[in-house]
Amino acid sequence: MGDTEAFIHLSKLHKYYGEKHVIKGIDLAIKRGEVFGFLGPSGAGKTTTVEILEGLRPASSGKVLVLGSDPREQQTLFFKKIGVQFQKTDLPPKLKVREALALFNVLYKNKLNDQAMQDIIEKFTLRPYLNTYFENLSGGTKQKLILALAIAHNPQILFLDEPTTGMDPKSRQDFYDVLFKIKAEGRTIILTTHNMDEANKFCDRIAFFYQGKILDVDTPQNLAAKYGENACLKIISPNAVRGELQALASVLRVEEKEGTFLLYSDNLQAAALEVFQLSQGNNWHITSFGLERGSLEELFISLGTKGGAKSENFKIS
Amino acid sequence: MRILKLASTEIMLLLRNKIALFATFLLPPTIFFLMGETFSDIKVDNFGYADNYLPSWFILAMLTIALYNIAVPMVTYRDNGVFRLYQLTGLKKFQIFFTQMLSAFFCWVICALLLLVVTQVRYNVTTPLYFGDTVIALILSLVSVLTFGFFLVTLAKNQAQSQSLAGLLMPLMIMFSGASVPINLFPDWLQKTIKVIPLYHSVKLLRGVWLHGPLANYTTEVYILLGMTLFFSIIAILNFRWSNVK
Repeated sequence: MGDTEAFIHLSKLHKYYGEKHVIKGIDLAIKRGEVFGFLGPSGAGKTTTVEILEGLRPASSGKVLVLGSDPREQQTLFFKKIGVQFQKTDLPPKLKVREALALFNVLYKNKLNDQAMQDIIEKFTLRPYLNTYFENLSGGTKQKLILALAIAHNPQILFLDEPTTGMDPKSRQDFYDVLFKIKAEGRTIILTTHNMDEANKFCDRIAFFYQGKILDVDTPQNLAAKYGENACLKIISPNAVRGELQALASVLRVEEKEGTFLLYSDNLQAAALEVFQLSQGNNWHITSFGLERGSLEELFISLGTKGGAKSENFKIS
Repeated sequence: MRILKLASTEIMLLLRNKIALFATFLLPPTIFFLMGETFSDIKVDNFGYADNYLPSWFILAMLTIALYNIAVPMVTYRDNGVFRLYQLTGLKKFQIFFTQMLSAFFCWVICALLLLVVTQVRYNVTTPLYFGDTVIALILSLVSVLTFGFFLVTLAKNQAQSQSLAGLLMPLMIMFSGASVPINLFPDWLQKTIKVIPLYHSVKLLRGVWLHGPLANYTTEVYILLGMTLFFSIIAILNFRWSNVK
């Protein structure tokens, strides 16, 4: 398979759980070396799709090709080519980090020598925890360890299913540092998340999942440009006047609640400049000023109404 | 190699869990000792308590291991995603079963040795007349009781259920299998009812072969245990799930 060919190919994928139609005809192609984001609210079908790609769940209908073959065929061989970090995974509580690495080295038949093992320990900054029981690790370190186990056999594709869910900001940042290193290796990564920042940070392209469909697939930059009106300026001021803000040339709409103003604009940079000039002229006291992103839910509602038909037009690249 | 590594890891994890360690290795000999002291004057079929109940405490040790070293941990592994990680390494179902069987067997051997030490030091129990038959009865009992543990894994939907199930079955089996309380003390209807308890047949077989032998006299129990093993194994293998995600 050449570099330009699809590494992962889904065509007319459907999945039913009993009567419930959870995946509704997904078409998708992911290229070698891409970091591809599956973004969407809970229940949108991201995890089901990923589990079908991982060969852990059968599709109801449609074509699934991962690394050129159906993941449900020759599963054991297929598993050797992928690494998976599940949304919620624990190891036995009394297993030490060092022992977990050694155990999975044997289970994967990796035969990693000492140096290779040391490299993994360094890459995932696990050295301080080698003799720590799994139960005593922080959430972030647990996830780093699981990621280390998932990647130690050098898989061609790495699946990360909401890896930072439930992490505190420090743990999340630690985890991101490791993820950046893995991304730099040029590995194909499928990242499932409902965190927009996370998707923006890591993904070359993002598929928006909503109610079992892919509503749009594009780069984070293009998606931001397409659906950017969901972002707005947020100003907190005790004496700003809504009418004057609304009158600014670049401001389309203003919402106000107890001294907090949300300013919507198709040119946020120009709107920000105008707000500064106005506040200076009127001597408004501004206690907070910043960019407020629309919530993911809002974005999806927006996509659902404006872009619902896009999945039908989406071309496999 | 993979099975040995996984089994040795399981044993190591058990040794690190103080409560499991006590329940698996020390509780059976301790209770046996206390019961032996309490009922030292009672004779059944001309055999003292230790003679009559050492075989049944071997069985109870198997049950403890089946419940607390197979059923509960396996359901926990399924709940917590450990089995899913194992699945991705290419391990097969039968390798998981074999690993658990191996570590359970090791645990039982240690427990049985401790029981033997207690009984030999304090009570000087009767040596089995038909040693070979007794070993066969032991192996058959061990396999049937351990597969019962695998069967329970398929019954419990989650970790909490597996613990409740184990907590319910353990005292029931101790009380009503003949393992610790003489069955002839129960009313007739109860004596007939308890024959549905799997452990009853293991206890009857092992005690019978140990004290009276030979195995040929207990073919009914042998067939029942073989049938149970087959039934439990088939259900356990067919219904084994790598994860709780539906």
